[in-house]
Amino acid sequence: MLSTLFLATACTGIARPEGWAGPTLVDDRLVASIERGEMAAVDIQDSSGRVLWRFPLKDQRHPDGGKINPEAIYSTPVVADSIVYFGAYDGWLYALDLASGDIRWQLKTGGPIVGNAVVQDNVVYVGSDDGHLYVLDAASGQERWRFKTGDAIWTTPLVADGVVYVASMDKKVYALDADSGEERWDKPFKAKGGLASTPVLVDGTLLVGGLDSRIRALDAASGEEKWQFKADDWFWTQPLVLADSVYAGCLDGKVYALDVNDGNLKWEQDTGAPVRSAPVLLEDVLLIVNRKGELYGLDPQDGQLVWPLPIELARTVLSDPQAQGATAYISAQGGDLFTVSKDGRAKLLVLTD
Amino acid sequence: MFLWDLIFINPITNALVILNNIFLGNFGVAIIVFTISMRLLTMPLTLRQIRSSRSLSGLQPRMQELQKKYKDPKRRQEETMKLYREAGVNPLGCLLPMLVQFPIWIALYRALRITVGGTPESVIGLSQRLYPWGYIEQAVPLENNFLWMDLGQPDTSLILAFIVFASTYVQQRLATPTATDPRTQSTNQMMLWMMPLMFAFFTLQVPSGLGVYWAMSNIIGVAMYYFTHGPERINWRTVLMPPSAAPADRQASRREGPSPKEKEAAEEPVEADQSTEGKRKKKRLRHGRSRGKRKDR
Repeated sequence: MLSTLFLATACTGIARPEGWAGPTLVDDRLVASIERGEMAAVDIQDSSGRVLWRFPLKDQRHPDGGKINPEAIYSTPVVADSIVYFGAYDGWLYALDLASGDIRWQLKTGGPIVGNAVVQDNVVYVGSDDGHLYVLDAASGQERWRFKTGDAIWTTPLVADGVVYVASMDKKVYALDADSGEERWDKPFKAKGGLASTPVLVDGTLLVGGLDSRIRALDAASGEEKWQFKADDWFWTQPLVLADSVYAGCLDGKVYALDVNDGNLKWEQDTGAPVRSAPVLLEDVLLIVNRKGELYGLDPQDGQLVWPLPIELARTVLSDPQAQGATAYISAQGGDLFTVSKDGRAKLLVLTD
Repeated sequence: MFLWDLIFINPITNALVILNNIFLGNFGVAIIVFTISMRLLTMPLTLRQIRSSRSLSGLQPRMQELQKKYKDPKRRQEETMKLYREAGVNPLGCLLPMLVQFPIWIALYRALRITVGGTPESVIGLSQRLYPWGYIEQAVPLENNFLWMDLGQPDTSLILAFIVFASTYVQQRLATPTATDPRTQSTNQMMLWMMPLMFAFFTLQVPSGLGVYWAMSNIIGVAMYYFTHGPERINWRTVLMPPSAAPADRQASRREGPSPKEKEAAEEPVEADQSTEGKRKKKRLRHGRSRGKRKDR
């Protein structure tokens, strides 16, 4: 009995990273992780979702001779100047050729990469689980500078007006000079919980959600708090700002619409399952995706359901959707790719093996 | 499953996070303190197990007499049960504390997977388990590193597996009553090695936080045995040395002469000398006797 019980327990193994990279649309192709630990380019003009290239190829190796095994990919690929940039759970930042998927360069960080890379003015910014923000030359991968925070960085850095804003699991938000890496604020802003939500900047106000169940508005110039809103669970999604409203999904299963000026609640809508995916706008429909793969089409004005019933993808979804006009592309856990249109119709684009 | 989560997994998860906060974000220390608390909580059961084990040990000579006296298994069983009743011993008393700990182990395993799983998915899973108290929420993310280990991953250095093996062995050696029956002793000896090996193997498969729990739990078990029995009753040299080959078997051979099988073989008439079967029986008999002689030396 003892051995049976423990075998049953042991066989379940340890927690395995799956990855939740969202898709990125570039012209007629979608760059997405369609298998665990794999990046691929898919031809969306082709009705069967033809795969143009996959990464890594068998026996592709790192400069040190080790076999490339991204393990899992959480980082939504970013494309600039025909190069695809993404970080992987193996700690490497990869730069691939958009046309062929060949490696342009690769760089090892000290821990898994969970957030997305940002490319601006030929510079790549990426955070790592080792607590560092890496700033690199986009063409060569040469390091320009790096900045150490007190804990893992699982968010995407925000670069605006020569300042890099980075939120860390050490509960702090840092404002750094994009050229030198010098701190711009007198001291970093400190929240009460780790920060896993990528910040967003609107009219001099930085909005960031946290694992202390709060979404906060900070003065981008000084880091002073303007207002905060408390929910019942953590905020992990990047908020979406439209006009004077902030929309944020929460792990309590609700989506909140707040006034960007004072943080007052405008409306809330319960989806029944945690929301990790960022809200996106399909023209005039606010698309909310929860972990159960239920898609809600809401009216951004009052939060009322535009679609009478949620669309059920019957997959776990934790990735951020990519919106393109009236269509959104959604990556489910495991790699299946879906499209959903603003009239509430979903279609399976790529089914993984 | 909902009830199981509600009663076991969620409270353990939250208790671990609270302990983590109290001990300045050191999750390894939180697991150790949790283990000590669990062992204190189940101490009455453990003491009962030790008492039962000691009583069973004391009954061994009388049980051996019963085995000699009653050849009919049913009658022997009845008399054994009668003996247990008279002595006020519950043979299942040794098993109960272990059974009580099973749900805790399994729940702790699940709780560890949730708390120090380390993957972004497991952190999201953790949010669904934590009570909505600011004090708890502020603890996230938890520090996975403790000494040389990542508590959310198996310890591949083998150090923890060795500690778990050694501590399980010592505890097992102390807790196993001395059996005079050769069959029981043979089973005990097998278990003495099997259990530590099994736990060491599991330590290599599960998050090392669980291995820390097992090692700590064993060490406390040994300490409890030490304090309940007193130092004079424990011969550490005997405990730490591997058991010699079936001493009771040897004793039994000395006392009883040939085993029942050997007796049976000896009593069989060797009539068909020329038949193959007869030769085989003779060989078996000779082999048995010579083995018996070797044992007597």
